[in-house]
Parts: sequence; C-alpha cells; structure tokens
Amino acid sequence: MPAGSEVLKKYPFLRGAEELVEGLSLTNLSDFPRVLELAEKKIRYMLGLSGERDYPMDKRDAVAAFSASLAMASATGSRRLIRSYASALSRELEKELSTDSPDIYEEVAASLGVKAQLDGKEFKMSLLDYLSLKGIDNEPDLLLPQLKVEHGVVYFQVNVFRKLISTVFRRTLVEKMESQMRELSAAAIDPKVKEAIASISAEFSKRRGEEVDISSLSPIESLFPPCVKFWISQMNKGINIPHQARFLVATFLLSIDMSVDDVLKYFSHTPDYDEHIARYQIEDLAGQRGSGKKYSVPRCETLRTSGVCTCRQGLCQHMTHPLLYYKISIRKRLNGDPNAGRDCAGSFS
Amino acid sequence: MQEEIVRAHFHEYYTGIDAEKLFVPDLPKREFGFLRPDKREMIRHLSFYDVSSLKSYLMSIPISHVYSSTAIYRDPSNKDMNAKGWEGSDMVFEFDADHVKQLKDKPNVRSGVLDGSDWSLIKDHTWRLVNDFLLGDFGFSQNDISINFSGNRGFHVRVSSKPYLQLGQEGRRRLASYINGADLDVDLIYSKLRQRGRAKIIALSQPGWMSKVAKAIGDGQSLVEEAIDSIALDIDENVLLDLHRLIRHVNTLHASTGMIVTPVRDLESFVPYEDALVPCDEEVRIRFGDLRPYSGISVGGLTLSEGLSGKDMRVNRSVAVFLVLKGLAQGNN
Repeated sequence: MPAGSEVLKKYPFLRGAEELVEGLSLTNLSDFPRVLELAEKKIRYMLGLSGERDYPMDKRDAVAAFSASLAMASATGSRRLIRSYASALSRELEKELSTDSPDIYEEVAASLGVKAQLDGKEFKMSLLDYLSLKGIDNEPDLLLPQLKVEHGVVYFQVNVFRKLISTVFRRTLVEKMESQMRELSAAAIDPKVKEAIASISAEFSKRRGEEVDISSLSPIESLFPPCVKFWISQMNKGINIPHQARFLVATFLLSIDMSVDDVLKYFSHTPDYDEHIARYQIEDLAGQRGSGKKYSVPRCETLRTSGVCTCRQGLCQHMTHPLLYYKISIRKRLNGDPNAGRDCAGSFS
Repeated sequence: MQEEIVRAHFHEYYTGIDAEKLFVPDLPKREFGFLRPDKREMIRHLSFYDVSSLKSYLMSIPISHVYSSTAIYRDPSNKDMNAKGWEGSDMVFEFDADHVKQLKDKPNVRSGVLDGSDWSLIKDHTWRLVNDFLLGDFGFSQNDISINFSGNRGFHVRVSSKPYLQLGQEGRRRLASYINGADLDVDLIYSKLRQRGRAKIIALSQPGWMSKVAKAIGDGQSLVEEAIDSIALDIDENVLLDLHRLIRHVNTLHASTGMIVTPVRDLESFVPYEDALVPCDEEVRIRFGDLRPYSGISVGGLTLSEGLSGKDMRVNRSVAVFLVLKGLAQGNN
C-alpha cells in the first residue's frame, strides 16, 4: 500500500511507489511531457547545472519524475554523472529526513532493505543485519566501534541513523543506475528524451572539466594513493610485502601506463626478488601472457577486506578506488592545492 | 629410534581413540586436508561419510597434521572450489602466541615452548574474547561457542551460529576490526571522555568500545591509548575472513608436538602441557638437549631445567614425543 501523498513527494522511492508508475520507460517518456520536464529539471538542479527547481504537485508526478530521472542519468552512460547524481540525492534525503520526525525513518530505511526499529531516542538493529549492510565502511561514524553495541544489538543515535540511511540510499541508487546502464539499449530511447540526455551529459562534462588523462602524464609518485606509497616504502626498506599488496602495487603502476621494466624496478629491493619470476608475473598482470587478460586495480573495498588498505583519513575516507584517488590528487595539484596526495603521509616516511 | 617413538605414539593414539571424539557438526559436508610434518604438500579435497571412516583413514596414513574446513559444502571433495557448493562457514577466532604482540618476540615463544605466564596471557585474551566480545557485545549463545586448544601455541574459538553461517567477508572484517580496535576513532573517544566525570556515565550508558575504554580509564589514571591497547585483542584477521579455511580437527594430534587438539570446557583450569598430552603409561629413554631457555617450564609433570641439559632419562612417552618433536631431546635406546 503506497504511503500518503506528502510522504511520497518527499520520499518517492518508498515501498509500493513504483506501482504508481508501472509502464513508464524511456521509450514512452515523451508521452508524459510534465514528467519529462520534472525529471530533466531535477537532474540539472541536483548536478548543479541549473538553479531552477520545480516541485511536482502530486505524488504520481513525484514518483514518476524520480524514476525517470534515474533512467535518464543511467542513459548518459557516465559513471561519474551517475555517482554525482546519487551523492546529490543522498545529501538531499539526509536533509529531508532531518526536517521530519524519526517516526518516518523506519519506513524509509525498510524501503532500502535496512531493518531497524525506533527504541526511545535511538534506533536499534540486530548485529547480523548491521554486518550484512553493504558499502558503509567509508563512513567512520557508521563503523561498529563508534556505535553502542550490546548483546547482539547495535544502537544508533538519530543523526547517525540518518547518515546510515543516506549512505545506503546512495549505494542503492548507484547499483540501480549502473545496472540500468548495462541493460539500456540506445535504440529504445525516444528521440526527444535522447536529446535531453545528451544535453545534460554535455553540460555535466563541461562543468566538471575534462577527465584527467593520467596515461598522458609522467607518474607523480607523491600523488600516488597512500596504500600504494606505503607498500612501495616497505619494499624500499627491503621488506617482503603480502601477495595482495604486490598485486595492488603492480596493477596500479601498470594502469598508469608504466612499462613492465619500470614496474620491475619497484620490486627489485625485496629480499625474495627473482627478476625472472617477477617479470613473468608482471607481464601476466599486464595481459602480455597467456589469456591476454589485463588485471584491474582492486577497489578500496577489496583492499580493506584483504587488509591492504593503510589509510582511512582525508580523501581516503571517501574513496572507492585507488586510481580515483590519484586522478583527484592530480586535479588538486593542477589547481595549486599544496595538500594534494598528503593523506596519511606519516605512514610511509 | 626417535621416529619409532613418534610413529608408535600416533598409531596407538588413533587406534585407541573413540571415533565419536572426532565428531564435528555436519562432518560429511566438510573438506579435510592432511599435511605431512615437512609441510611440502597438503593433501586436501577429501571428505568422510562418518567418524568411523575418518578414524580408519587416520590409522592408515603417515604422521600428519589433520585439518577440516570451517565451511560446509554440498560437494566437499570437489577439487574445483567454485563447484564445491559453499553453504556457509563457521567463524573461527585464532589466538596463537606468535601473533600476540606481548609474546611474539620472546625466544621461548619463537621456538614454540611457552611458560606459565605466556599461557596465562593467551588464556586471558581468549577469555576476554569470549566473555567481553562474543557473549557480551555480539550476543552469541554460549551453546554456539566452542574453544579448542590448538595442540601447540594457542586456542581456536569457534562460533557455529546458523544465522551467521553465510555472513560474507565484509561483515566478518567488521567483527575483526571491532575486536582488534582497527576502526576505532580515537579522536571521538577523546572528545567524549574529555570532561571530568563523564567516564563513569559513559561506562554505564554506552556499551561497546566506548564503555570499555571509559571503564579502563576510570578516574583518569590511565591514558586513552593505553586503555585501547589493553582492550584490543590480536586475533588473526586472515583466519576469520577466510571462508574456505582449513583448521585443525578436534581430537587429532598436532604433528609438531604430538599433543591433542583438545576441546576446552574450563579455560581457567586448563593446563596445555598436562591436559593435552596423550594419556600413556609407557616410559622411554631420551637424551635432553640444551634446556637453558626453558628452565622452569613443566611438561607432563617434568620440570625442565638447565641441570637436565645433555642428560639421559626415562620419561613418559607423551612427554618424550613433545620434547623430541620440539627439538629439545633425542630418542635414546
């Protein structure tokens, strides 16, 4: 049973909301000009491309515009745009929640698969449900040692629970949009909608500036992510480092277009270095052997799980991928930021 | 000669053991692995229908370390890990003396022979893990927790809780980081405990890390960092995170000590070098090596001392096997 009108206008993703817009897709969106207009304006406003905000008058329009805006963002094919849009929507959700009574939080959380109950002035959740939450490890306030934990129950203060909801919301949106992006067929998009998407995409790229092409720059070691710098510093001290750390360093250096010979130099200080074996392994990672598969740099989540992540401060708190850290640090340096690439600097001096 | 002593020790133990002692829940769904003492090659991807077939196998093979999986599988003997059909994994928290920061650099610990104070510390850590973290904070049931002496330098604490069987690595990492304090925001603790008198209130109202630190600080006599250090436990994160881990199977013999991987019911009264030795009436003659680093350590009622170094003596065979395998004595006919 869909929630009431005002609630759905604020939270158009609540359970049952999609029943209101069954049949709406990018193929027939132009048959609903008001929805298309609302969706386009919403994306533009949230991405900072326009200052104009348009509010839907009824819940059906609100839900339809929200759903259409996600589909349109997915159709841009830009992961960067998708992530920016998801971040903006999650910030907006946190703000909306802060103006609402905590009584509504349970329902909002449940729509995102988060099972929790309001208990006095706190929210409580079973430890197992907490441990099963995805993608909250970049938020220090949401980590278990910072929370009240007793007999298998985790407690959250209201503001922390808001943060939890918005963090899960962001991840849910990114997953949904990336999945839509993979499944979308350009041919199935109405030309008028396609035009709107192309325009948003072009303006977003222009606003954000061109992507830093890291392969065109010489490697800047001081801007490498802290984990890569740390493990390189360990090798330079003549310490054998774990397999997963070697994998990180090698794939990272290869992905910024360093040659196998240059990558080998980084490993040559380790006590167990054998050039023949090391060359074989690095060529394999570079896709120059066997199946030709080139290995990707592990994501931050994987690095944390395998114990290879060495920094959770500064920029690293918000990072999902070591290459993203490098790209952002380069952009910061180009903009004259003296602190670019200096997170956790003490750990590898 | 000494090989014969050890071989006889293992053979007689497995011949005489009540097969039921080898039982673990879901035994037919567990993968087994066997490693020879030279640790060159592990034979794995084996499974056993019941404890009797496992016992028969143990009687037929050369001396080996015996492992079974923390995981249960639809097809545990399938050699392709992806085709095994993972159904879930118990959680295992491992304390080994060589991973505990206060102990790992001690010469006797490095050579694998622990003294009374080393055991006290490991037992204290194990007790705190069970009592403070697993029962207190995480709320596991006592019935789901078992403690095994590893047969050498530490303890395995196993949580077999059905709802948690399918918990993935991300969730297990959060538990590990909680126990070892890795995700702790020290600045936040400082800011909350800065005001005088707050510690007592927080100790009562903020169960979890905040309360533990507040209690340890008391009236400000201890520093926050010291308090954290005294609370955090050095569990081996890799063991907990590895969903396909093989760990020593209960009531088998550790091939580097000849001691039993023993289920521990009363941790406080458990004395590894007494209670995990194979009961045996036979005595054999051995010649002691250099015992200086181990003076005062008692094994099966025999107190090692510098004065015994180089001497011949008849000792209980289980004690002899331990000392021979640890390189502290040689068999002497």
